[in-house]
Amino acid sequence: MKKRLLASLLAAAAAASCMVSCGNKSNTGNNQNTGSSAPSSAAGNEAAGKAVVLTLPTYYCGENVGAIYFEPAVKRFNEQYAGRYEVRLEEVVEASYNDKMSTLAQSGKLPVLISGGSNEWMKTVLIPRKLYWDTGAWLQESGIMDLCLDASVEYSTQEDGSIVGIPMVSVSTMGLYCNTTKYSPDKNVADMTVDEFVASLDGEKIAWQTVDNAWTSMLFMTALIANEEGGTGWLQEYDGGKCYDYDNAWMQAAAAKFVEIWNKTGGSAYIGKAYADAANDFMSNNSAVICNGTWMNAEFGADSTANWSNGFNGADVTADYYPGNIALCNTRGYGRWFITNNFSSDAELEAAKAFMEFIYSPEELEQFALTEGCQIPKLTYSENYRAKLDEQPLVKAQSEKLTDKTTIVPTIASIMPDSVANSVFGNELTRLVNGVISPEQFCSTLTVKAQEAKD
Amino acid sequence: MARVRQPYGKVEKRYFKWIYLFLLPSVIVFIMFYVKPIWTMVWTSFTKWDGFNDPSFIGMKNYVRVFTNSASAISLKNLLYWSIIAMTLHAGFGVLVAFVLYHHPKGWKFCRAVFMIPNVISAAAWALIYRFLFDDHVGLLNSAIRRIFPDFHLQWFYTSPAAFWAVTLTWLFYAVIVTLVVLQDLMAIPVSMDEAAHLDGATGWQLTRYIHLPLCRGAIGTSLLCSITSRISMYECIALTTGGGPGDDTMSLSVLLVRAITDYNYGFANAIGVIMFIFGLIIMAVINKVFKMGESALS
Repeated sequence: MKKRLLASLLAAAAAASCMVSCGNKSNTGNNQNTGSSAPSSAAGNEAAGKAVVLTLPTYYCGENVGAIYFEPAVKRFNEQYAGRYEVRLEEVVEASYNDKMSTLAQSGKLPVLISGGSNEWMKTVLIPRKLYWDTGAWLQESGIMDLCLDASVEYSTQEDGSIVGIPMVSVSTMGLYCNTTKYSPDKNVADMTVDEFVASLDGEKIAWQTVDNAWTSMLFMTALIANEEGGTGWLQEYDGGKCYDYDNAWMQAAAAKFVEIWNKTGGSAYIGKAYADAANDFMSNNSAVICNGTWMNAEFGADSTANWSNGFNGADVTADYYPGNIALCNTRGYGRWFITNNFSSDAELEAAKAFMEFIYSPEELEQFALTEGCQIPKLTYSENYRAKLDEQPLVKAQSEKLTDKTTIVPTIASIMPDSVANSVFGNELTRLVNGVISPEQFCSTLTVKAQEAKD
Repeated sequence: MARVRQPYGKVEKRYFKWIYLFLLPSVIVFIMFYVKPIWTMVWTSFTKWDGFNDPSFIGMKNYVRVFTNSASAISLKNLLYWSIIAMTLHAGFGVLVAFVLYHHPKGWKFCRAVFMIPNVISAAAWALIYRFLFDDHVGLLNSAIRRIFPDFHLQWFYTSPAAFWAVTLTWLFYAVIVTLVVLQDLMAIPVSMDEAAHLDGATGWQLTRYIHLPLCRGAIGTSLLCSITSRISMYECIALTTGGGPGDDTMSLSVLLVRAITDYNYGFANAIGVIMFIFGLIIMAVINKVFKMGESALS
């Protein structure tokens, strides 16, 4: 009898555990906390007079380049608010960040603060279900709104007037880097025409890439499009949105020009190269130029010598923008941080707001700008910042060369559907530079693929 | 004579509730992790769905899109070719190795262990190894070829039609599953059967052809099933080498499916999933029929 009882209890426990472990109802409403451990602990801590702990899943930590600024910033915050608030980082791989957040959203366990996330993810997950906390009033009160870029504020403002997250305050322009030991032109690259730039290279290589999203190649092709008549307006028109038709004169002309430059700058050696290969190529004195964003500044600092080889020295690198004075950046987009409505207590929301006010304080923003090499157009920089800027020649060059005459356009990848930008572009680029397809076919194939992704 | 099922006795009936109770956890797991996902995949394949918000019914549109997609024809063609290669060269190689190992040549245990090694390395790692192996400038393959033809240059993964064969070579010779399954059956053949055949005058080849191969029919069928269904779901060795390129030359349904997910087209992705699932069922049915899987090899 005892055995039977034990057996039935075990069977019931097994069945119950299956149902319990998989029976989390998805959260479709606002502010429904269905067992998130972090919010509960926050509420408990508040009651017990302990520090409110915010667990923050992010990819701005570990080996990610964003960690260089962010991890010390979190440490500074935790020291400043010791005993009141504590931020704990939970590392998430950048490539799977959206998936992880979607899963948390479905199970009603979104953290109160979210960093990053693509525009598409915001439009698909966060906004339709109103999983965000309207930051409008708080942004005004805290003064952060004064720093936000107008285009981003407009983009982040919903039809009902609510604002999603903290709109962009910084501009991380993407340009190019030159190794002066191999290429030292008489004038800035930004002041040259495309033809002058190619001629001045005199056969030196550009660190191209064709694999994955063909990042470095894609950046240069965007600059070529912007240099064609009608290209700038076209790119800017789709900033913050998606374009599904690339059959136009400027894109075709840019593709043709790209092949020409590819062949003159040792392109064939870069077929099948990924981003790491291109970066390694540049940092081993093989190529003279690499196209990339300001976050690459850190790679040329004295702390990164382990990545250098073949006599490369980061101090020999200068930063510039593209021929025709083109810089690449998306200004119409959401910001970096989002406050969700999944907070269990006011204390948790206050902690999130305190952390954001800390991150968006002038001192932290200056530190962020110096570390990541970005510009904060609406911030009045302190003397201390200007003094430190002299110690950061790359950031200084990027800052000084970005003038009101610089044309800022979004990258071509950012206005393509994700699947086209992430894989189709690279696949077709390989065929283009190999001469298998013409520039016209290149553009029409991308159009077909984009249309298929849209439907 | 038809067998007559005896009615269950009182004692047997008493244990029914316990049988059902102990089966319950497995049934629940099966429903939740097999039936429910498959059902979700099937019904959402008839909807427009972003994977998060409520799906909206659109009928057969996703299926029409699958067959009119610019990459569908080449994906199906690649699947057909890879399935044929899997059935013949891949499975054939695995069976051959099994028969060689069965005769216990010197060092056979060492060879079996070495043959097993690629299977414990992830497909992603293999894909990266092959990217270096097939690299035009520093790759082992081209360096070897250039010893004979100094001007030889070929970007295996980025040129047509070499890309198809380069992707094929990333899995072609890793047939350890086939080998182990067939070897297991071979080792189960009673020695007395071989001895009887020898007494009847059967030579080595005749023994293999008329005794061993027929007795391994089920194992070979199972191996073929595994090999072909692996081609249907093959993803890593394409995504991490060619990404389906150059152009769409090495596209597969699984790559197409992942691209659809990237664009939040979950309804379309699930339609591809249903088609892959149906292909798997068809192949299973055909192999069951051809290899008479349910019947004893001795009958």
